[in-house]
Amino acid sequence: MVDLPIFLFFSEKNPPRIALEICDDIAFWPGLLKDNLPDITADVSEWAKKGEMEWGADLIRVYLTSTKKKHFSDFPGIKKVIDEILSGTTLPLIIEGSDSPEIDSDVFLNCGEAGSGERLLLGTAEADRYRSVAAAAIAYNHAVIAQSPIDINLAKQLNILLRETGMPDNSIIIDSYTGALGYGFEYSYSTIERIRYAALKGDDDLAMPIISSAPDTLGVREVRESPPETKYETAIQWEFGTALSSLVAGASIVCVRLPETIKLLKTAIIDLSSPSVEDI
Amino acid sequence: MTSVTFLPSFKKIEVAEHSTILAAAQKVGIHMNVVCGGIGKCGKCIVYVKTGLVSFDEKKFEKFLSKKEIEDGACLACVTYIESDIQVLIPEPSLVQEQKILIKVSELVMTLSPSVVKYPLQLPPPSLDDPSPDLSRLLWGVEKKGGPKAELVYAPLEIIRMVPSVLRESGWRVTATIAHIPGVYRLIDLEKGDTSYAVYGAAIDLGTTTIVVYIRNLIDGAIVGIASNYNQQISYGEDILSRVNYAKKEGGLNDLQQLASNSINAVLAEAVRNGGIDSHDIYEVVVAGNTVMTHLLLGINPGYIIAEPYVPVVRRYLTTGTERAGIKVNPRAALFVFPSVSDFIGGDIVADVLATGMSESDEIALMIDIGTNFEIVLGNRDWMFSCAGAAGPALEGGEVLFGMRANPGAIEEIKIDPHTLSPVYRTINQIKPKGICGSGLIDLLAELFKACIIDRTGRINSVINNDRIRKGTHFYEYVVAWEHETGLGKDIVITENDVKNLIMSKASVLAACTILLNMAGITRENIGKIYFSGAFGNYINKENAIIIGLIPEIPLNQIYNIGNGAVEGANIALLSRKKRKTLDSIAQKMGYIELNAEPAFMDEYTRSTFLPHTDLSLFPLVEKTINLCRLQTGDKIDE
Repeated sequence: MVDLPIFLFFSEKNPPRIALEICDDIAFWPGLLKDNLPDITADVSEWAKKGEMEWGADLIRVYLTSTKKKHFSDFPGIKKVIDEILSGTTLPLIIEGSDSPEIDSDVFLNCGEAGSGERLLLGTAEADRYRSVAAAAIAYNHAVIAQSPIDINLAKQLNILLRETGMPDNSIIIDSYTGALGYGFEYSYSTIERIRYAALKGDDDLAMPIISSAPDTLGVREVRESPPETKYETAIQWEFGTALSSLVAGASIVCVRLPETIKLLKTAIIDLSSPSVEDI
Repeated sequence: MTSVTFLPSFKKIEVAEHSTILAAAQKVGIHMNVVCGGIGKCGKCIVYVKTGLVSFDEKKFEKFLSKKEIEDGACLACVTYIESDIQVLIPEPSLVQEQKILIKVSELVMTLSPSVVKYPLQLPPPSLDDPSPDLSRLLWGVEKKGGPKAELVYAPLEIIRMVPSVLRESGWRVTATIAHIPGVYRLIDLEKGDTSYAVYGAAIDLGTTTIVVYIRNLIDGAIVGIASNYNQQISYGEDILSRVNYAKKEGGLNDLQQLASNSINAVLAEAVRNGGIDSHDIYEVVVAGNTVMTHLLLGINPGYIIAEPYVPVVRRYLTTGTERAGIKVNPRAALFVFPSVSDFIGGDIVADVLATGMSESDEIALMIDIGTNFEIVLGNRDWMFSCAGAAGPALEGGEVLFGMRANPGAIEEIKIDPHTLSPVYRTINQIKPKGICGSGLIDLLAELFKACIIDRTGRINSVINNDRIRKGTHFYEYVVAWEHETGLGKDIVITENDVKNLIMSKASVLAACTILLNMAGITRENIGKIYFSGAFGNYINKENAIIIGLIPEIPLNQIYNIGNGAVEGANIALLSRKKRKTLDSIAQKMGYIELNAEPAFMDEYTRSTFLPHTDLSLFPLVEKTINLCRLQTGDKIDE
């Protein structure tokens, strides 16, 4: 189902969703979180639970950062992590597998198997490495994120490649890559917008929901160079600004890392969806 | 000074220390492969230093040479500097070789109306009763023989000087040669006796790489002699840009002008020998060349063509004396040069159009000339759009690891068995394979695609368990020929990177076609005919060209190869004054689309970097073929 973005005045169906991004090894995560939320980031299943119960996230996106360790081979460990998160939260789960082609296959198959019976969203398929993740998704009936570098045609091509491996249309989520606000975001914006319009005009290859995540946001110069007392607040604003703009462009799922941003986005979506100014 | 000896020819030359080996080779007249213009980028000029000292940056070699090869003295001639007396072996593949140059011209069906006519005359000698001047007597004689009116004929001084003696010494039996030059008739020769059987013209395709000469009898249009050879300007780089850059250097334009005329003269001389005629009897030379070649031949500065806003100096046909361009035929023969439309749409393309006949037809045709660059013309008798661009050298064998020109030993045709994934191929001259040329590469791409070895972006499916599919030094690769089959001492492979370069090349051609169709507001269904011009088009498999999406899909029987359209067009213009007259109007009518200034081009290009195109509905037959192939190979994800 594709609608115009934020076109929710007459119905409540399909509002944009907000995913909380977390990871299983904090060593590979922006220092900002470690510094400001030290108690929650140590245990990934607790982290996910908090995302659901306290912060109001709609989805949880787990990055298996532990696979970035040199010579990683603890594949059964992946299953354990996923099992823990699944038992800790009822929210839909997005699993980001490895980012090195050598272990892709093992990582994705273990992810797929761990979530067997659930319907996970697996990430990330790219044009030059999509077979492993697609194989795992098809085998265990999961969906995949298809990421392409900020170009409507490349997004379309990757979807075609995935469909040609046997992925059903309703198991593909487009990630056309999002740059941080002020750092190339305008290209991402227009690409999201074009993809959405192409779908509305009847292009089946692009009629999939769009997921947008701009992890670079927490590391932009404006955040890095803020004085310590306002640094965290600046990061929230930057993350919020980027994510909200993505929503307006047409993203169906936006991913953020700071709990405060989720609340701000929720309010903004309600405000934007109201039929008139008076209702706010 | 140091001395350099080249093996196996033992040619020797003295050059300044620290010169490149390439410069020394050029100086001694050895033409080496320098696709990149001598900047160490193409890896085609491999030589082996046998004795002596040289210096080089090993990093630059890594891409092309193994450690072992470097230890054996292998280096790239263009970026290796001579430091002492040396001996250098130039292996055969590094030399510019006799190429499969296309010289076939279809039989021309048209009425002959040449621009030069010889009139054999028997004149009455003057007397006291008939004291009219010699020249008037001569020209009246021409008029009586059906030639132009005497007062319309211009006689140059050097001919007038000849008139009294030639007339009297021949007993008033002479042959006058009249040339029809736009707006005027010109008396260009006067010979004793009847020489009217000996009147010839030359039609020349002046290409960046090759020159083709046709000599024709202007009485009946018969072909008298044909020859072709390399453009000697190649020593200054293979591509246009390096020529223009050289022309900008002091004395450079003059050098290139002379090389152009020398090259033409060499090929002309061979054609004259083949025809057993006298070059003095060639009274007209028609040249079709690209814009830069035309400028260089005429000694016109081409420097402004390559800088914004890319203007050529003239956009109409030019007539001058052959002598002024240094072409050695009859000294008063006219030189007719085809008009150019823009920087990249030159006289060769106008000649292509003339050869296709599309400018005289109601049916819409798409003419594609693929060479070092590509040029495309879409239209009919009422309108025409043209565009040009860089296809990259991949389709001609450059930037492809085992790519090569269409020389002997090049794989020119290939098929892959969808079950065993083993290829069968044919090489030029049926010798052991040395590499793969353009037509072979297009076959290969289509076959890899049909066998599901590559996906639609050209990535090799590394999951397939087959000896021929393996990880190379940098990329996955497919083995086309095993070491024991080749004449190289190593396997011939095509890498994933090669495939990507090929796809990028084909994408730019297809995207350009699409842009022209969009400009004209028509679709592929409106195209009546597609013409391939140039050697490349002549040898490629049309079906495979469509399968990879090099050209829009239309029925195969509507696709034609016109061969060397430039030389064919030049032949037509040589034999038919009427057709020649239409050239200026073709050039004026043809709109030029600057692809770089066309925002939709990049989008269309990306859409085309997919086999055959992102939108498969534009290629219905390919869709069918591919589905069929997938059934055969049972391609699906390996779990």
